[in-house]
Amino acid sequence: MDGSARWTAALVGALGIGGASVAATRAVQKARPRPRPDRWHAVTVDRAPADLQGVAAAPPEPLAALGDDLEIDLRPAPGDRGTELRARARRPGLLVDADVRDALRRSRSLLEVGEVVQPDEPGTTRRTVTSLPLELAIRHGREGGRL
Amino acid sequence: MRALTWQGVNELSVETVPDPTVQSPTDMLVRVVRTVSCGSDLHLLGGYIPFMRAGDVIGHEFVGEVVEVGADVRRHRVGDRVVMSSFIACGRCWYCRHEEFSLCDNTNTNPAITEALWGFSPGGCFGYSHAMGGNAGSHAEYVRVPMADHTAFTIPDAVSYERALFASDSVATAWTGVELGGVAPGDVVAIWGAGAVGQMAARVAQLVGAERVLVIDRVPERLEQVRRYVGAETIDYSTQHVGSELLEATGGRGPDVCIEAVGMEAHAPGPDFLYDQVKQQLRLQTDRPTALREAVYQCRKGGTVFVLGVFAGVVDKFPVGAMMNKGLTVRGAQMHGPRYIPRILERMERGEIVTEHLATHVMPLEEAPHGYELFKDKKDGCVRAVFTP
Repeated sequence: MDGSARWTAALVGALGIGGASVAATRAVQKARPRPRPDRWHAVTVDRAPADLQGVAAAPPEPLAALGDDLEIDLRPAPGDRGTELRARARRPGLLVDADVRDALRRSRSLLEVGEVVQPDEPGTTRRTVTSLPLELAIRHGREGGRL
Repeated sequence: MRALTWQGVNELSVETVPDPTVQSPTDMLVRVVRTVSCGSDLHLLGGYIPFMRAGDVIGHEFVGEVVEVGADVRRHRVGDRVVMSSFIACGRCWYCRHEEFSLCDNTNTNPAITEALWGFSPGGCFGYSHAMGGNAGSHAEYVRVPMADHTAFTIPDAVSYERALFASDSVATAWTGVELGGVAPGDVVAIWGAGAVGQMAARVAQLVGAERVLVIDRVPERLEQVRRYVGAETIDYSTQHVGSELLEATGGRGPDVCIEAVGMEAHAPGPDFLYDQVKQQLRLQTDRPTALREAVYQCRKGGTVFVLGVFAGVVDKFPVGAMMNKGLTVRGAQMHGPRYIPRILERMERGEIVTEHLATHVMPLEEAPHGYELFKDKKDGCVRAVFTP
């Protein structure tokens, strides 16, 4: 197979797999009830509620960056599980769910370890046609992943 | 620096890549002294884990010397000889506090990928795809070690790099399976797979008091290593009937704990292997669970099956009826390195765990693609290929 044929095959394959994945995901999502638009997004932070008293008033930077449209709630997690940190838009549609998820994950890392772990910079990878779907997934790597 | 990179399915090459740096006060830089191939790398190489990008540095089991530490690193100094846990642990989340380090909440930089696949995300690992954090691997001259205080361990003076290398992942994985599989004094333990992890699982099972340990494989050199270096019994499934051998060895009960140390590219004689191979190649299942099925079938009533081999997605014909009706406990885990590495190093120091024989092929990093060829095809008696950058 010459170079151009290989690239064409790779492109067709990537588009095929990507298209099938999108179609399957949409079919699954369509067949099931949608999440409530006013639901809380939550992470559990392994810190006692007393340690996080100031978080609702002065949230970590990733949550603060979402501004006044964000509503924050803290509650003790059951047992020895720390504190549930919950967030949602004050009105459905004001914020993108993925942004809230991303901000919660980063905030949990900041509250637990004081930093958000990053991959090596600069990276060692190069862009290929077949890796474009993965590149997209990495770009959204800290957002919501559940189907 | 030079590093072994994944370039595509079954395509590896040693390239010049940017040097890593200390990016965070909790990072440190390690000069890699030894780094070893792992069976789970073959899943990346074969394209079974489709979360690799061209240029990714692979490798996750390694030892080296500390050459730079971040301002907040307290447990390590420049010049220390260290072994790293292949899974990176923050040490401060709920999972780390409960010593389930491979489930760390804070070290996977792309948690959404595995959350989509599995519901929740495990922690990050060195050199094991973007699904497991996208961290650079260890088949390189230097590695950045995030969360260094919790991920790296000082090697005692009396333990050589050659021996400590396998504490990084193989022995720690083995200990994870033996401990979480509940192996207890008097148990009969059967282990599928005589690679490094299977051999070390046999050794650890002996150390915690198992009465008999039987290791099942078909590769003569590996079975010979089990008998010679571990002192466990062997079953060659290409020439012996596994079920009858296990029944005879256990007085008709079946093994108390069955440890599967094979993973998603299992081989077996007979039509079930062909069935699994066809389904996997057609992407109708992602993994071949041939050894796992047998472990479930052979396990005694009320026993435990522990999945140590790496699986990525979904399998077909899982014997859920046997699991339910025999009252089995089925567990699995990636390895909780920081929980086990200190005690492994102590055992290595006392000579109770030896690993040098596993390094059947030692070569410079520049020859790593050839090393993976030998390792993948089990040529020339290769059990593990070790690289010296």
